[in-house]
Amino acid sequence: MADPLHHTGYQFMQGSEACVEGAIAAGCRFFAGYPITPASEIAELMARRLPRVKGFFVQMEDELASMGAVLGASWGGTRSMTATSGPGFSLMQENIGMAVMSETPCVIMNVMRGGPSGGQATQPSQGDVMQSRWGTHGDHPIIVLCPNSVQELFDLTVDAFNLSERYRTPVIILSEETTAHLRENLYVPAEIEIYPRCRQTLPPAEAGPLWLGGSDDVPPMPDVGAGYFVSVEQNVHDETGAARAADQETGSRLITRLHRKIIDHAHEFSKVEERYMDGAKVAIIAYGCVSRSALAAVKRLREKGLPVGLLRLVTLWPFPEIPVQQALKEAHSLIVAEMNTGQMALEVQRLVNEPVRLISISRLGGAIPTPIELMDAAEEALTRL
Amino acid sequence: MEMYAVHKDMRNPERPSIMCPGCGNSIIMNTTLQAMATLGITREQVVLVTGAGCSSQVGDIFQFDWIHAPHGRVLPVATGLKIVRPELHVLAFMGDGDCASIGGNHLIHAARRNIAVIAVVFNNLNYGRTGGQVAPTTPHGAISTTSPYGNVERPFDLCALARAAGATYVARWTALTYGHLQRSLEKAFVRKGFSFIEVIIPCPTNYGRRELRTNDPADNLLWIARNTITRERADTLPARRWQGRFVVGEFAEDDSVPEFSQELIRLHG
Repeated sequence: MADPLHHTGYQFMQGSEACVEGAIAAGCRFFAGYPITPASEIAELMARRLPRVKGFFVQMEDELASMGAVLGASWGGTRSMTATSGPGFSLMQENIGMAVMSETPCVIMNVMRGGPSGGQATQPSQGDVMQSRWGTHGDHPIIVLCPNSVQELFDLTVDAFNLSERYRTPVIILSEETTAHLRENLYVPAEIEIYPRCRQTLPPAEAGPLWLGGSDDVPPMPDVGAGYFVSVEQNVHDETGAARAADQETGSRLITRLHRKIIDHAHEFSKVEERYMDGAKVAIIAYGCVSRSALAAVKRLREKGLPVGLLRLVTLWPFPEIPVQQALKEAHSLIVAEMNTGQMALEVQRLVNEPVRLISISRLGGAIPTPIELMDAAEEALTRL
Repeated sequence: MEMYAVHKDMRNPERPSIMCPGCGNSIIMNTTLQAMATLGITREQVVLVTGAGCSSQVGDIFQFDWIHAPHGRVLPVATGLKIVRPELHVLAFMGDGDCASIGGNHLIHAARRNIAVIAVVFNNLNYGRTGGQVAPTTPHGAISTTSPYGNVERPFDLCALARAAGATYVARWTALTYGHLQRSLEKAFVRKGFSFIEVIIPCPTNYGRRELRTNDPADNLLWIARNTITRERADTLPARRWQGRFVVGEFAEDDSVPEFSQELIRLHG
């Protein structure tokens, strides 16, 4: 999928720009958004880039409308995306739920800032981790990716589109103010692997019930304007798309399939990064910008001959239980370092049994845990053998 | 089962409709299908977007590509769809609460943008589906489940609102003036711009029962008829003579304003 203005090879750019380039490389041709610090750059870049690749940019009246427009454009057959931060992310939850229920492929970038409410517009945080999992009401699965570099802002945006089209689901990219505003080198490949949308290819007369999941629980998505007369329901519906809100069995069956569709396939796309984990007695678990400090800490500790490693979460949700459980095999202490009150520590805690210790490091107000702080915590943990 | 012409446009004619006797929703849908037939537009060329409430169920009864969007969010979904598929006719069929309450902000922006979506408001003067609560369109003084002592708020004049927001085609009709409604819908299908059509319809089960003290379909229609005045007549009378009545007619028609989806295509250079 060649884009004439797509610069390949080694580039130097801001994280937000890498996200935009990754999106366009992955085939995104529709962006609807609203200005919000620290994500406005993404909208501004999309406003400039999309018309040049025959795409569409629209600044909608608010974040509710932005997410609504993304849904409409996705049903029109176009890869669609929005970008926001905490306050806007809160406003988008209703339509994210609609995206889950209607199995509409789309990508939502949340560049986390200090919260709650207006919080700290120009400070980073990781406070929306649980919100990205549970922000919209009702039982629902979700895929959430967390980049820690400008390179990953490109790569994971591509992954996000691929996953959203493959599994017909919204995919959230959680980044932080720091990472989105960081300027770094990255390598932009000339060829990107793009997963095609899971589309209904049988003609309307032969297609059968349009919401019947295939063997992978993903129903092929019909085009509109092609005679399928698809029913895209916000309410519980049966395999024909007809609303069956009063039917308990249908409700249970649908919600179960929506979960199976993501959870049963998580092992295909779940990603963590292990650095220096061989023989690690203390493991630091981190994600996003905190993982940069954690890596620096772990490198220095290893230079001192201390058995400490880093387990970096790249897929936050579904929570990568298996790699975390692997880490527990040798490590006697897990340090979960994050810029919130310990949201991921809660997830890790579920898997930890005596005698393994969990140490939760929380930094609030925009402070990023420093390499020295993490080194101190790890060294302290090592003494408690 | 006796066959009616409209059955060919329904998902399942044998399935009972949820609409109450005397509801105006099907009048609007039937009129829309008549307009399409007159223009030779097939359902394959149309996408229907509805929100919440009884009016939203027309997508379940009639067979269209249908997006049942969250309450109030019909116009943004319709906008995104029309931008990427300008060749399709996009119908944004909303209840009065959908359009003017929770969706009010989206209405004024869709009008301002002049996105070529056909916005039809099924205005039954209350929130019918949820049991008859007051709405921003409920007449002053009217009894409803959330205005048990009489509505102390003033209702919107939705056509004035749409016009003020820049809508380039604005009309108001009722369930009785479906001939005029059909002509307005035909105009809307053909023109390139945001078309706003408000239709006053009966809600015998809720608004009728609670405020008009009758759920008789004919009585509800007669009440609308008695309270309808044409724009031409209203223009000759002082305001107090038509305040609180339904002024029907066309209030704006301007085909000189660039249409939004075409403007975005123009940016492609």
